[in-house]
This record gives sequence, structure tokens and C-alpha cells, in this order.
Amino acid sequence: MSRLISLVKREFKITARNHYLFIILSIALILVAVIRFVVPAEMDFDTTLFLTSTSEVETVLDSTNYQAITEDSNYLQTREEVIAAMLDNNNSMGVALTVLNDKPHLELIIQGFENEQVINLAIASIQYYLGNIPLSNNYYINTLHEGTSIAEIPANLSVVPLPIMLESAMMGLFLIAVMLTLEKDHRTIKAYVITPGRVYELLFAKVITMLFYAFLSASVIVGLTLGFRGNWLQMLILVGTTSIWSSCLGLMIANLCKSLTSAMMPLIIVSLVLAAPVMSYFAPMFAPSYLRMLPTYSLMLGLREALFIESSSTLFYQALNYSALLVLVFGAGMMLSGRYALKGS
Amino acid sequence: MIKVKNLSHSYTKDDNFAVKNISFEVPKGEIFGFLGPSGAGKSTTQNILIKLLPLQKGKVFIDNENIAKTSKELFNRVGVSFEHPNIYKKLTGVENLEFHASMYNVPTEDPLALLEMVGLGQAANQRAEGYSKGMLQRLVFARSMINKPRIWFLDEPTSGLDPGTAAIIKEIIQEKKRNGTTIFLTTHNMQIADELCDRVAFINEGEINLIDSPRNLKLQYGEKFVKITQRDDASVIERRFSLLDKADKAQLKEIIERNEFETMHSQEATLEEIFIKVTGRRLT
Ligand SMILES: Nc1ncnc2c1ncn2[C@@H]1O[C@H](COP(=O)(O)OP(=O)(O)OP(=O)(O)O)[C@@H](O)[C@H]1O
Ligand SMILES: [Mg+2]
Repeated sequence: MSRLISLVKREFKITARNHYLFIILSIALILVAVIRFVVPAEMDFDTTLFLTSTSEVETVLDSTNYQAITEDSNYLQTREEVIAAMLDNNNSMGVALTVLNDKPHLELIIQGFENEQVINLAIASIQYYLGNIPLSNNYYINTLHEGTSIAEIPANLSVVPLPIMLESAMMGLFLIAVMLTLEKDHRTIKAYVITPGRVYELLFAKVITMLFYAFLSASVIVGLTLGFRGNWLQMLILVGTTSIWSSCLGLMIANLCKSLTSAMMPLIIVSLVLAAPVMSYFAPMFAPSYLRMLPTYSLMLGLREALFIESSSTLFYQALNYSALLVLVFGAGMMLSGRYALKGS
Repeated sequence: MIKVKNLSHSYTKDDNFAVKNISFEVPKGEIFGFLGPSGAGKSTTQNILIKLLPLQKGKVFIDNENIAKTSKELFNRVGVSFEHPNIYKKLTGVENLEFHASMYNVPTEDPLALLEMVGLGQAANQRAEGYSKGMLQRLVFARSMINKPRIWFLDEPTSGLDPGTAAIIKEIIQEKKRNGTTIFLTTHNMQIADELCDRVAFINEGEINLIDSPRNLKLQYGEKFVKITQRDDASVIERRFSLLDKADKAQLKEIIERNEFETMHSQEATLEEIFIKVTGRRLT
């Protein structure tokens, strides 16, 4: 135990003197600045709008407006077809027009992930389409995926889960692999191996160090954007487990590679794959199954739920299960590759 | 003590042996020199003994423990000084030693006292990235003593040091020996080996050709050289002839008969020359 403490202490000294703390805090602050000042509070998520209407609608609309609607490239015959189309394209909403009390009645069908701005924008554009004539009562909103709607979050703050996801999954991966391959390049690892210290103690110390940095960076980003909104405990649990598996993965790669240069390529490829779910965040619900299988995808949804949706925890638990599984898998991989790799040459 | 029996090692796991069936024993308190040219298999042997390389074939006992079976606790009794200065450059000299000391489960030396001993007292609190090559080497040397090892592996401990510092290092090594430390010293430097070692092994192409004390070797091979100086116009040339070598002897005879020399001395063979005689190879 005291050896592990010494090892962690040494990691902190060395990483601090290599300006890790400075780099990590700078990145966190830059991300905070981007979220607060660069990302527009209202973002236009170029969404497809599928339309359908009953034939009665013709009687309550201007004929040119009615024609415009039925000739729209996204016009479909029935409400069922609209829903089917929406299920195929997560980045879409649906509009079904009927007549109620001699006035057009609008039913807006949404995926459930859209935020207030996007919905208001869609309604406004439909009203414009209909020639701004008065609608029957109110419109009616139907949600395809219940329980996932995001509370009223400005668009810029709604991206907060992204930097958290990227930092916890990738910063650890890279920095820890650099820490270990540098030890190999400088052969300090040999000086360690000829002490009673165990290889796993050295690896654990590095994982613990990265865990601290991951918590620090996530706390800075969330604290300076959302403040104490959301479920911090859940957020930190996800950040922690993610940081652990990504550190283990980084160490595994470093164990299997002879030097920093040879480790670079696999690291970059793995990071690109892990970062891919970002696409589905920006093109809302562009989520082909290969993206949904990635741990960072479930992490992203889990973080979003932890930070923005108080009422449910399904996605949090899904993300937690996934990252817990990866902690076991990559943890074992790290131990095995460590035993094998740190002995040779 | 160190005991090695029929040790072989092949990096390629075939018949291409870097170390071939070597055996030797180093009793407690002895300084054992492991001498050989580059590529002879010195580092390979040492790395197997300190478990940096897997034991493929043969038996190795360190401090009475079979290294194939022992745990990492054995390293509490072992010290290793590397030729390559593998130091945490971002830590100071003292921090490097303190960290290393904290890895052991046995009483350790005071880091500052060790640094003073090797002449790094002044630089103790300076980060190692600012150290010169010789300073780094002394730091590695000091680090290898931190756990008061009973078995001490030294790889080229004095190479690249100025004579004054080298003398201090040699004095420390001799002091440790007097305290009963068993020392395995790897070197190219025959003079160091001659001064320090109780016995030396000549290793060449993975095989040990001979093991004996420098004194015995010199008794056996020494007093058999003749050094003459010749004047060639303005310059003086020094030549040495072995009295064991037929061609040398014939040549020497001719020179004497023709009186083509200025001075003539019989000379003790150096370990280097003995090495060349035994292995047919130069050391460097
Ligand atoms: N990691 C390795 N992989 C493959 N072959 C190796 C490796 N290390 C050493 N060898 C080979 O094994 C042989 C013995 O090398 P070794 O390093 O033990 O020599 P050495 O006596 O220590 O030389 P030096 O005085 O230069 O340090 C050489 O032929 C060398 O090329
Ligand atoms: Mg060597």
C-alpha cells in the first residue's frame, strides 16, 4: 500500500512537471469558453420534416398552399408512413394535418430528443407554410421515444456531455500511453522492474493518477457551464469508470508497442473510433447501429441523462453497465499485456 | 552468492545462442569480473540473472534462491547499476533516490548520504535533467546501493568518469566487498577488472573461455613479454613481443641479433593481452 502511494506521488510529480495539470486545465477552460461563447445558444439542426394530410384539409386551405404541401418532396400518404419514415431517419420530425372545427389542425410528431428551440422553429415554419391562417385550438405534440426529451436547455449548454465524454475517454488513453512509453523509451521501467515493486502496482498508480485528472477536468467543465445542475454523482461515476477503462486500454496499447512512435498510430485510430459518436450528437439522432455499439455513444447518452433529465436513469445505468464491463475487459487486457511486455528487452 | 549452471539463451528461440551453456559460481564477498568484447553476451547473462530476461535453459541461484521459483521479494537483497542512465529526469537526485527507496521492504540508506558519497551532494536538489552524463552515471550507481544489497550487479560503473571520481567509485566498491557484498561486475575495462576483481571470467561469443584470478592469470601468462624501443629517424617506436608466440620470438631474436633496439624490458602481460591470447579477440 505504501508503495502504491509512493508510486502515485511520483506520477503526480512527474506529470505536474511535464505540465499535464496545466495542459488539462487549459483544455478544460478552452472547452468551457467554446461552449459559453462560441456555440450559438440557438442552433439550427437541419432537420427533415415529413408531411401528410387528409384530403379534407384542401377545403380549409388556400389551394396554392395545399398544392405546395402535397407536392413537397417529403409528403407522404398516411400518418403511418410518416412515422415509419421518422423511425428510419432519426434526424426528422413529422407533421400530420387534419381538420378540426373547420380549421386546420396540426399534429407535430417528434423523436423526443429535440429541444424547445427546434420544436418552436418547426411549428413556426409549418404555420408559414400554411399561409399563417389560424389553426384549430392548439397544436398537438406526439413523441416517438418517450422519456428522453430534454428539458429546456440552451443549445450551447446542451453540448456539455461531449467534451466530458471526449476528455474522459481520450485524454486518459493518450496521456497514460505517453507516460508509459516514455518510461520504456527512457528505460526507467527497468529500474523499477528490479525492485520488489510489482508491475500491476505501477500500472494502477498511473490509472489512479489519470482518474484524478479526469475528475478534475470534468468538474471544471461542468462547474463552469452548468454549475450544480444535474446529477453530479452519476456524472462523476460515468467519468470515473470511463477514465479507468480508457487508461487500461491506453496502457494495453503501450504495453504492446515498443516505443512512443509505434504506439501513436493505434492510439490515433482508437481515438477516432471513440470520438465518432460526436457526429450523432450534432446531426441529432444520426445513429447507425455501428455508432450505437460504441461505448462512447452510450456514455454520451448516459451523461446527457445524468446532467439534463432528472426523471429517468435508464441510459445512465446502460452506460454504467457498459463501462463497468469494459473496466473488466481492458483491466484484464492491461494486466496480461503488462506481465508479458514489461519483462522483455 | 551467485550460482549459474549450464545457462543458455537464444533471443530467436533457436540454435542461435547469445549465451551458450555457461556455468560459474561467485561466493559471498567476492568481486567477480565478467569480461568480454561487445556482443559477447555479458548483458544477456546479467539480464537473465536479474530477471529482465526470461530463464530459458539452465539454473540460476541468487543468494541461495532459485530464480525460476523465487518471488519479487528477492530484489530486496539485490542492487543493479545500469550502464544506461535510466533516471527520472523530471525528479531531483534526492527524489529519484527517495522514490526508489520507497519501493523496498527493507531498511534503506539515507539518500543524501549516498549522494554525498558519490560527490553529488551539491546537486542533490537539482532536477536530473540538468545533470551531466557522469553525474547521471553516479546517480544510477548510488541508486543501486539504496537497499544495502547483498548481491550487487554493476555494469560499467566507471566508464566515462574522470580518474578522480572513478577512484572514489572503486573505493566504494571495495568497501562494500569488505562488508560481505557479492559483486558481479561487467566491463570492457581490463584495468578496472585487474584492480578490483578477485576473479574474472572471459566471455566471448556467448561462451566462457576461462575463469581465474587476475594474479593467477598473470603468473601463468605474465613475465613472458618483452618490450623494446626502436629509434626510427626522429621518432621512437615501442614494440612488444610475446615469448609464447613462435613468430614473435623469431622476430625478436632477429632484432636482438641485429642490435636494432634502444631499450629492452621484460614485461608483465596485461589482462587485455591475456584475453587476446585466450580468445583470439580484442576487447574493444
Ligand atoms: N534484444 C535482443 N534481441 C536479439 N538479439 C540480441 C538482443 N540483445 C542482444 N542480442 C544479441 O545477443 C548477443 C549478445 O549481446 P549482449 O548485449 O549480451 O552483449 P554484451 O556482451 O553485453 O555487449 P556490450 O559490451 O556491447 O554491451 C549479440 O549478438 C547481440 O546482437
Ligand atoms: Mg552489454
